[in-house]
Amino acid sequence: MNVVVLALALMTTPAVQAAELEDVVVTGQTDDARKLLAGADVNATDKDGVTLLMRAASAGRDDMVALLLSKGANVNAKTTGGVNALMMACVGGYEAAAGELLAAKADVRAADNQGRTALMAAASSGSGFALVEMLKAGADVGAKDASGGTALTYAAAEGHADVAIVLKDHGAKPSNLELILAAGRCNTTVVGVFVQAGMSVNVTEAGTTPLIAAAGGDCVATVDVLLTYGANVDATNSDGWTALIKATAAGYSDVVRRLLAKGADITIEDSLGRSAPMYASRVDRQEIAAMFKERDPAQRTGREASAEQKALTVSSPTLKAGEPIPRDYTADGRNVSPPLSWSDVPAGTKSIALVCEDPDAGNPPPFVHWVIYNIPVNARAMPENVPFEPNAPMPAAISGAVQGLSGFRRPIYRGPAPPPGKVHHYHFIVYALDIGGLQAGLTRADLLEAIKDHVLAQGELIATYERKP
Amino acid sequence: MTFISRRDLLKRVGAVAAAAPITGTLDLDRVAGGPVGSESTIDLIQAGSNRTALESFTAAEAELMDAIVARLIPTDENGPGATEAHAVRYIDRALGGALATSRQAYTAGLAALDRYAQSSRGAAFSKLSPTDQDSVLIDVETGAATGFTGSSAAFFAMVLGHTHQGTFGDPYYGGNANFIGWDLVGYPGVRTMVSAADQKALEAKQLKPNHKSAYEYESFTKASHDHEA
Repeated sequence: MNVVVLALALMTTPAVQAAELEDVVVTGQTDDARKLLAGADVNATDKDGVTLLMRAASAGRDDMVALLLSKGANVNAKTTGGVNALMMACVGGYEAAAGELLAAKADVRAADNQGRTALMAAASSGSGFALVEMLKAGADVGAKDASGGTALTYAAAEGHADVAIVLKDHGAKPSNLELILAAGRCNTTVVGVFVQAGMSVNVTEAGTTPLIAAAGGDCVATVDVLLTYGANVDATNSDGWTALIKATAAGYSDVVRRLLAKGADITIEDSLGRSAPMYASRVDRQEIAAMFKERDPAQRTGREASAEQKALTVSSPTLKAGEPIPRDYTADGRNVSPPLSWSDVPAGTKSIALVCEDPDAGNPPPFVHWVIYNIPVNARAMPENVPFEPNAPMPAAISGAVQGLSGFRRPIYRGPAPPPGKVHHYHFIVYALDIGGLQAGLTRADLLEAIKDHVLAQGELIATYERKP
Repeated sequence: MTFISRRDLLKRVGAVAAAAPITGTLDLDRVAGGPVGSESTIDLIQAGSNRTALESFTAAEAELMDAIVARLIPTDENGPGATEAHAVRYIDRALGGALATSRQAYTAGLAALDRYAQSSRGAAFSKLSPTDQDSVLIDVETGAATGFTGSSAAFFAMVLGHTHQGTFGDPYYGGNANFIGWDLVGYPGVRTMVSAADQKALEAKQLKPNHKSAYEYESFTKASHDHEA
């Protein structure tokens, strides 16, 4: 795939002999070259094995290529890296030069040290004419490079649909990876060629599908084509992400619109228990959030839905759901942690974790106010004022609990201190886990990663707070 | 042991100062004549002399600063802290010289901090328990405190930086009294020559600290803040 880079590197190698000739075959006149060639070795190479023919070929000087060949240049000479003049001409897309080399019976089955052939080079640069001529001359359409890629892989990656069609007609079998590669790079025509050749759009490779790849590349037209050909709109990748979650997380509203029009399920949760609407809660995702609301005004966030499915009841003697948090638990008061309790802890629970987060703040949201975990399984309540001093012992009721890093970069509770002007929502989320003994110092993100697939039940209490301007 | 903490002494001095019909300076005779033992009297005079030496802070600001630095680098099981190092004296002097541009930030920031302590915790900062003082300072540090011009975090960072300077800087500038800051971090002192024996003693943690300001050596030039004042 990097033939062009390799060729350029060789071209910049300082010439050790016949510097003038090397220069002339690239930039000079054929008459001058002819004069200089008299008495010179036409097959002289530099230390990397680069010949005059290669220099002319990679510069697209078909006139010089013809001249050198007529003077006895070895058409199949290779550099130390195994690259020949035909590959160089094909990488540059110099079809006339390639034509001269092919007319001189250049070896079309030769491969460089990385297994790359001139056919792959032509597929990569979209040189259809040279490609067809090489196929006629017996090029191996199924040859694979060191990474397992074929000429078709190169065509798919670079989006050369015409070349892909030719290769397919010559027996190349598109692989799932090639379809996904083309989809993820918005190569809609290539995708169409592959699908019309009989490929299924619902393949999975490298943990993803063509639709998810196209959604993640903001490839609106490609998404349309895949959906038209029957792509499963709700298929998931190895992270449990649907195309909708992928596009939402990346903020690609046009793709989201297409997927919603095809009936994408907005309640599907990924492996962290988060649905597409939750990824739309960022401030710069308002357009997408509005689409979700319009689709189903009663749509709950995935977290609320899952809390309902695996109900863990969270309550507090002092915090009331939906109501302002008392000052003592905020930075406008004593700023101590509030008392909380929870019930309906399922059997098999090993420990409890608690996070307080504000999705109305943070960059990206949510802003995290509290992370505390390794709370003993038999604890059903958290007393007020969990100490913030590093060496202070935990209250007996939650002995063994450790606090993780909040958005204030401290391992302690720090309550609401929002910028004035709007009501913020504080989610006190309690998780019942089938694991315990988590390491100290985790952030919310670390914690969620650590407890992925270990949440037996969760629940939350949402209270509010607002600072007046 | 008749232990009177320096903190208590400072408070008593402050109380006397507040009762005295004078501003800016403290009547040392009146304080020294109080019913305290001889050793404590010396302490008291020294503590009082801090007040008489105020160059920039008002007495109220100095008292608030004393309370703040006592929590930033507290006197604890590790030894004496910013209070004993006279970090506030350093800042007070520097605000009239090299740090003159920060004077306004202190006036506004200290007033805001005390207002915030009052509104959120119900008392002036110096009247709060150490735990509540720490809690207030965390809110100021994290920018959660209200009433400041801009973020309270900027004020906190400034005070902490100056407290470090006043505790660990060269005593010549008015802080690091009795080389407390250097002893606290095990700094063996400014040395123009270190012999092999010194090096060995240092590695064995047996090197006696050299309690000398850099300016006690002729090779160091005194930076004067008079030019900038």
